[in-house]
Amino acid sequence: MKRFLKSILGGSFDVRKGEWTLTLLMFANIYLILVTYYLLKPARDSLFLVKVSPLELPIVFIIIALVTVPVITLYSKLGRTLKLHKLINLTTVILIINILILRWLIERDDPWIYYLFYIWVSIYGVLVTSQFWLFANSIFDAAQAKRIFVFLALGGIIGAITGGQVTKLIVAYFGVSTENLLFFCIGFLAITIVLVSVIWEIRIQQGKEPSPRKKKSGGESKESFAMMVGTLKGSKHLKLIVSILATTVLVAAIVDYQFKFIVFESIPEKDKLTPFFGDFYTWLSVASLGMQGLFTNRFLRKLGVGGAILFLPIGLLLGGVTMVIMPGLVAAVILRGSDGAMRYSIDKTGKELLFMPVPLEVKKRLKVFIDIFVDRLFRGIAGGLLLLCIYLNLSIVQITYVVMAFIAVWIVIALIMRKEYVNTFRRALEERRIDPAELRFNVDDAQSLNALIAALGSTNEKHINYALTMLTSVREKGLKWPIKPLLQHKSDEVKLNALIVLQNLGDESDIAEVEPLLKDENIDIRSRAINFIARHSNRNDKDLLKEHLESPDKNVSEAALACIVEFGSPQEIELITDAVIEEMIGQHGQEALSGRLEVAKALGVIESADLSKYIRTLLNDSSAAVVAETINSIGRQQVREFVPWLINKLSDRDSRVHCRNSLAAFGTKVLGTLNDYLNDEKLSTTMRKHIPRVMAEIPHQDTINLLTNSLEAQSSWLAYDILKALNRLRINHSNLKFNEREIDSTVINETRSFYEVLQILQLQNGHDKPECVLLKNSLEERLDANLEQIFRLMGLRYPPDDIYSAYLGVVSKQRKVRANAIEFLDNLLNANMKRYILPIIDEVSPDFTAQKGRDLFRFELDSEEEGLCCLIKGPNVWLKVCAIYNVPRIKSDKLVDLVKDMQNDKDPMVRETVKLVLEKIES
Amino acid sequence: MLTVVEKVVLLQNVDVFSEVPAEQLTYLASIAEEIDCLAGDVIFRENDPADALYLVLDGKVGLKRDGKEIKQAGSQNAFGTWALFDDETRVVTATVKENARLLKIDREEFVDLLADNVQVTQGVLKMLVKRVRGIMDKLGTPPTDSAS
Repeated sequence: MKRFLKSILGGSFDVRKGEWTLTLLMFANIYLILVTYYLLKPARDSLFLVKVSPLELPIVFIIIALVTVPVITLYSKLGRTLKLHKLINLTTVILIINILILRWLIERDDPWIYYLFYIWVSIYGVLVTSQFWLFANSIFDAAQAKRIFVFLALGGIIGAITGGQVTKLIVAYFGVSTENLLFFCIGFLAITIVLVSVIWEIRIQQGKEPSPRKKKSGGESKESFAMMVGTLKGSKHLKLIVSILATTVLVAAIVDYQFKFIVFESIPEKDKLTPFFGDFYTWLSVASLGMQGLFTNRFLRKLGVGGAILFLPIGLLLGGVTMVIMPGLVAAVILRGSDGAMRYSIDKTGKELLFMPVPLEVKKRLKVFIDIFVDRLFRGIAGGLLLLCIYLNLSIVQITYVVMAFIAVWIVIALIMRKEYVNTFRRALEERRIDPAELRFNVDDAQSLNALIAALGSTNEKHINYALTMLTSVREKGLKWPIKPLLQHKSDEVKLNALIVLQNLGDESDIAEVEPLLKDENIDIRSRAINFIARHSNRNDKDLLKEHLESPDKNVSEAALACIVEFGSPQEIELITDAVIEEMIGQHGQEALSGRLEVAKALGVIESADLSKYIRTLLNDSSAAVVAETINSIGRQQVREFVPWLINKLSDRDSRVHCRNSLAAFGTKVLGTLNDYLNDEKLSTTMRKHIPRVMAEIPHQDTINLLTNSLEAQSSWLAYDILKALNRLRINHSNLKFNEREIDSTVINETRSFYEVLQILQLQNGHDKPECVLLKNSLEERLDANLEQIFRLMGLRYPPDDIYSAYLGVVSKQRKVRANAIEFLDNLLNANMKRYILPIIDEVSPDFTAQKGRDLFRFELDSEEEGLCCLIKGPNVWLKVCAIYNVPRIKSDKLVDLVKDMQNDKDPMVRETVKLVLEKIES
Repeated sequence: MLTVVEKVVLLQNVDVFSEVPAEQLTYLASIAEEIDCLAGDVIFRENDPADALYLVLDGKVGLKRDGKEIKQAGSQNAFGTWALFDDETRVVTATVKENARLLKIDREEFVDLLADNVQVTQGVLKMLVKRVRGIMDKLGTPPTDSAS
C-alpha cells in the first residue's frame, strides 16, 4: 500500500527516501483533523441558524473575537510545561470531553447552548489546525517543510472535502440527526491521539528529537505588541500588509453573515440545512483545491504577487454585483463561494509571498500580532458593524453596498501594495534579509522572479550569489537564459552557484556552454561541470564518468573522481578502482595535492580490501587537509582499527574536530572503548579531557549511563568536562533518561565539598601575605566552581533552561535578580535538595552558611592548621599546592611532617612546591 | 628558578590575567620563562615586531618613546602586554636600567595555550570586556548586548 502510494505520489511531491512513513502518518493526521472540523462546521451552522437566528450571528462574531485570545493564551501557558506530543494529546482528550458535554447539553435544547457550540467549534478550528502545524514544524526541518508541507496541505483539503461529504451522507442518507455527528468526531479524534504518539515515537527512534519550542517569557507578548506597533510605524510595507489583512477579515465576516442569512431564509429545516452546508463546504474545498492546483502557480508566474492579491477582492466585487442585481441563494453562494475558493488558495499564497521580504524576526512577531490582535479586532468590528446594520434595518442588498465600499478600499490598498512589494523585495535582496533556508515555499511568482533576475546583473557578487541561492528551487526553464552568462563570471562562487541552479533547469543543448568549465582552476567547478554533462548528455551517465575518470588530463580525472564521490550512484562509485586510487595516491608534492585530497574523500565511500592500507598512507600525508579528509572517511566507513589512533589524536588541536566527528560517526559501537580511555588514569590527561565531548555527540542512553558512572570516579577537572557533556546531551536530547537518585547523591557530595571549602576559607581571614592571598583566591574560585557544578548537576534533573536562568540570577550582582532566583529555586527544588542548596545561595551570611554545613555534614574545622591539613590530604592538586605553600607561615610541626611525607608525590607541581617549602623552613 | 606556584603569585598581579582563575594560571606559569638581563641590555626597540610580554621580577627597565623615557617598570610590573594580542610593532624601546630578572611569556606559546585552554581564554576575554565597558562608561556610551 505504502509502495503504491509512493509510486503515485512520488512523482508529484518531493518526499524523499526515509521520509515517507512520517509524511503519510502526518497526512493521515491532518486529514482526520479536517474531517472532524468539517463534520462540526455544518452542524454548528445549521443548529445555530435553526435554534437561534441568523440575526444573532454578529453577537457570536464579537464573542469569538473576545474569547479566542484567552483560550490561546491558556493553551500557550499549558504548552510551556508539557512536551509537544503530550500537549497535543492532552488538548485532544479535553476536546473529546468537551464534545461529550456539548452533546449532553444539546439534549436540553436551551438557546445559549447553541451560542456556546458555535463559539466552541470556531475555537476548535483554530486550535486543532494551528497545533497540527506547530507539530509539523517540530517534526520536519525548514528544508523538509518546503517540500512536504504542500503534500500535507493537500491532506487537509481532502479531509475538508471528505468531512463535508461524510456529513451529507450520514445526515441525508442514513438519517442520523445533526446532533449525533458529534459522536463521529470523537472516534476520529481518538485516532489522531494514536497517530501523534506513533509519529513522536518514530521521530525519537530516528534519533532526531523534534525541535524544542522556544520558551516565551511572560512579558514577551506585551513587549512584542509594543515593538510591533513601533515597527509598523516605520514600515510602509508592513502597514499595507496589516491593512490588507484587516480588510480581508472584515469583508469575510460580513459576507459570511449574508450567506448564512440567505441560506436560512431559503432552507429553514435543520436536517436539510446540515447536508446543504456539508455539500457547500465540500464544493468550496474542491474549488479551493482546483484553484490552488490549476491556477495559483500559473497566475503567480504571469501576474506576480501584485496580481494574486487582487483576485479575491475582484472576485468578491463581482459576487457583490450579482447580489445587487439578483439577490437570493444563487448570488449568496457565488459571493461566499468566491471568498472560500480564493481565500485559501491564490489569495493565501499571495499574502504569504508579501511576507517574504520582511526580516524573519519581524515576520514572526507580525504573525503573532495579526493572529492575536488584527484578526480578532476586525472580526469584532465586523460584528459591531453588522449589529449597526441590523439596528438601521438595512436589507441584505444594502449591506452588500457596505461590503462593496470596503472592497473598493481593499483594491486601492492592494494596488499600492503591488508597487511597494517590488521596492521592498529589491531592498531585501540588497541587504540579504531573506534567509533561503527559512523559506517554506518556492519563489516563483513573476514579480519576485523579475527582482531576482535583476539582482543577477548586479556588480556586487554577494548579491548575485544570494539571488542564485534563492533561485535554487525554481523550476522555471526560461530562467536558464539569465543564468548562463554567469558561467563565465570572474568569481568562483558565482560560477559554482550558477551551475547548481542550471543543474535543475538545463538540458543537453547547454552542454557546450558548460564544457569550457572543465578547464577551470577550481576543482569544485570542474566536478559540478562533469556532473552536469553526465546527467544531461544523451549518453550513459556511467560511461561518461568513466571516460572523464580515465582522462589523461589530471584536472579532468581528479574532478571526475570528486564528482563520483559527491554525486555518484553506488554503481558509479564502483568506477573508483584500486588502480585509480593507487595512481593518485602515488603522486607526491603540491601539484598532486588535489588528487590526494579527492582520494581521501573517496576512501569514505569505496569498497576495497586495501582500504586500511590507503588510510594509513594518507594519515601520514604532509598536507593537513588530506589528513583531515582521511579522518572523516574513517568515521564514514567505521574502520575500527583506527579508533585508538583517533582517540590519541584528540589532544592534537589541528585534527581534534575531525577526530571527534569521526569517532562520533561510529555511534554506540565506540562507546565502550571511549569509556575505557576516559577512566584510564595512566593515559594523558589532555587527551582524556576531550573524550566526554566526543561522547556528547552520541546521543544514547548508554552514553548517559557511562558518563554518570564516570562522574563520581573522576577528579574535579575531569568531572567538569563530563558534566558539560551530560548537560549538552540533556539540552539537545530530552528523551534521554537521567538517574535522579544518582544525581541527587552527586549534588549532595558537591555541596559537602562547598561547605568544607567555605569553612577553610573562613579560617583564612586577616592575612595579606602573597601566599595567603593566593590561597584565599583559589578557595574562592573553588567555591565558584563548586556552585557552577552544583547547578550543572541540577540541570540534569530539572528543566535545564530554568536552572541556567536561576544560576545566572544567583551569581548576578543585582540584589533583586538574586532574590528572584532564590525564590524560584525555593519553588522548584524538592525538600531534600532545598535543605542542602538554599543555605549556599541564601544571602544571610557566610557564617550562617558555614554553620549550616557543619549541621548538615557534622564536619567541623577549628583552626587554620586543620584547614590546611584537610587541603593537603584532599584530592584537588592545586589547593594542595597552595596549602603546602602556606605551611612556612603557620609554623606547625604537624603540617611540616605532613609536607615531608609528600616529597615523593606523583604530581611534579606538588613535589616542586614541597621542595621549595622545606628549603624555606630549613633556612 | 621560580616554581610554578611562585610564578602564579606573580602572574596574579598582571592586569591582563587578573580574571584568570589561579589554578588556570599554572598553565601560563608553565610557558613563562625566566631570563636574566644586564644593565644596558635592550630588550626590544621601537617598531620591532611584538613577540612577548615581560614581567619584572627584580631590577628596573626603562621604557622610552622617541628617545624620551615615559615609564619605568620595577619589580612585579609588566610591560609589552598588548604584544600578546595584536600584530602592531612595539611603540617603545625597553632598556634594562639595573640588572634585572624577567619573566617572559612568548606570544606564540600564549596563543597556543589560549587555543587549548578555554578557561584561560575566558579569563582574558572577561578582563578585556571589563576594560571595554570601563572605556564606554567613561565615554558615556551605555554598553549593549547588540553587535552594533
